[in-house]
Amino acid sequence: MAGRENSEDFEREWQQAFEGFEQEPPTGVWGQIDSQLTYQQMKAYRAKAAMYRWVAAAVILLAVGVTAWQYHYLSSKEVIRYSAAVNADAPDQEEQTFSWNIPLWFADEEKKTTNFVKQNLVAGSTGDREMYLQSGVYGNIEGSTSVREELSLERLGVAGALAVPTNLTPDHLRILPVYNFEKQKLKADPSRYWAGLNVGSAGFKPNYQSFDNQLVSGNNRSQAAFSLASNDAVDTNSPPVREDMSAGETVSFGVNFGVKLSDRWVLESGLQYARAEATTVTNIAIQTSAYQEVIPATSQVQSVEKVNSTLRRDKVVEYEYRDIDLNNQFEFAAVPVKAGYRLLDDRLSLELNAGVIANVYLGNKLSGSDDVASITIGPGNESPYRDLSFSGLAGVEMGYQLFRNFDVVVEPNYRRALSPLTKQNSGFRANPAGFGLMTGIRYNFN
Amino acid sequence: MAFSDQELIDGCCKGERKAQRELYNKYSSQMYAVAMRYSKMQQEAEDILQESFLKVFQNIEKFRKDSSLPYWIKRIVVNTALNHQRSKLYLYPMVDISDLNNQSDTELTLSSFGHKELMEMIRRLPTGCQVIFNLYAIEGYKHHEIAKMLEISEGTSKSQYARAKSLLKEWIVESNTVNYGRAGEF
Repeated sequence: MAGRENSEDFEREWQQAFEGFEQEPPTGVWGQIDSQLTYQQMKAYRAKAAMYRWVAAAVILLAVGVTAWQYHYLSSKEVIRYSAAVNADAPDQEEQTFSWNIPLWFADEEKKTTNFVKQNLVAGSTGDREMYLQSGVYGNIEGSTSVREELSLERLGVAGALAVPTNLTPDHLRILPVYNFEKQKLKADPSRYWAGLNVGSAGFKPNYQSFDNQLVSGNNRSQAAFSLASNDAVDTNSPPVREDMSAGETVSFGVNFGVKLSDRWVLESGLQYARAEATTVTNIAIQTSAYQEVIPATSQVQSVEKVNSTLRRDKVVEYEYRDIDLNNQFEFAAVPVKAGYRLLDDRLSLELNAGVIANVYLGNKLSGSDDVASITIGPGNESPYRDLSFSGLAGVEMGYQLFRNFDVVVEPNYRRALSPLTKQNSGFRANPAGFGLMTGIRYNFN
Repeated sequence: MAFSDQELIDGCCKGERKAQRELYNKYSSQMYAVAMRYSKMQQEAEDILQESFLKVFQNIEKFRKDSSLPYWIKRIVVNTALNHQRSKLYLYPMVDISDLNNQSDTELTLSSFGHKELMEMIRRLPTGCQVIFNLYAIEGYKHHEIAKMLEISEGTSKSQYARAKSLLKEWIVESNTVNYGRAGEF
């Protein structure tokens, strides 16, 4: 190709020279890509798996609860109310002196007891109450220690007051010339106070907003900028700090307590420890003579004294412009206060609630790969995060009375920051929000 | 069996590793040549290639068919390379166009040079000149587009290009002198 004075020909020649030019890359490059793809898949699966674990646990808990409820609810709520006459030999309705309640499931549990009762039925029901009359009986309950003990006169509180035939052994049922019994539904004793333990998991969407992020000179430093320490100049040709924070997950556990204000309204509070994880991406890394690792440039670390002293101009060796992933590990102590309205308040309870959470910031640990220095941003004046921030909370709490005083509780909820997590003069904002699921147990003080 | 681009795209969208591998095999040589033009060291070109293909696989669902697949991948490679070189753009001071000596256009030819030599010439350029030469002369971007991409002034882009052109012409002349009589060897 002949040379020309026309400059366009110069470019055309270069274009033609490289048109279709190929060069085979080293074989190891695909290996690196392959392992990166695998790592990314693992990361995605791990994040999803954590949430699925909690959802699965909640579903199982709910399924067990519903099954248990179906199995026990009606029977355990019903009792047989017995009335006994004093004179065992000649039972007389007019002589009724004592009465007591025996859960129906006792009768169902031991067929002999059931038979014992049923074989003496002599009357039907009236209205919604079943009433039976029967002559006085003695019976023998074999093979069921628990039923025998439950029906003992001592347990029933009538020992010494009834004329018990002396020929009955402890193996015999020591009651009763029963003259009637009836089925009744009794309500459990209402509990006014409770306390419990809970654990939970939730999404943590930081809603991160970064403002004017430049590596700037000391003379032109803005509060929002990521600036180096002292007044030494930094070249302003460096690109903007491009940073973002993507969503992660919160795990929390704690204690809670509550009080019933009325039949329907409750007030709850507690203390929780929460750890939230999120990923920051930044595009500048600064190599200093003080560390083996590079220091990531993010608005989060701009005012951390230790970092600033490291980033003195005379200690900066090199700037690297590459994307760096940093794991944030926020820690909070949280005090929720919420009011609830009980739509259902029986063995199975259902409550709508809403309230406020006071979040006390404990710190954030920023860490990346091996070549990136880990930085912990504690609370206090240097921190871009407020020591105290507030979130709103709304949820639906489902409870099931598993034992006499214990409830299991599951609560899907939504939280959103009412005030930013960050201080006014920070170069970024974070207003976290997320859906979550709490589970726990509750002890009712009757 | 050779896969069509559409089959490869569909497979990559589903995250199939086999399709990703095939896509890489099909275009990696072409893209590695591009990465080489923007880098100084082989390791750097490998990093650019690796990062670029990861971006391709992550964003393949966003690929619209208003351009060809290799063109779309090449744009990702160029952008990735620019990200890598931005730090060095900062390290090398830009020169003002008025500082440059006017180079007289002499009769030059590239036909006596092989790809390897031309590549070496491009890679010998100062980083700023190298990037802007690639963007302007080979990729075909205008100076105002380059200025926007690199967040520099249009004048800086022109001056860097003029500097690159000047150096390349100088080296071509030198090589032609040295290699006189060996033209056409490559």
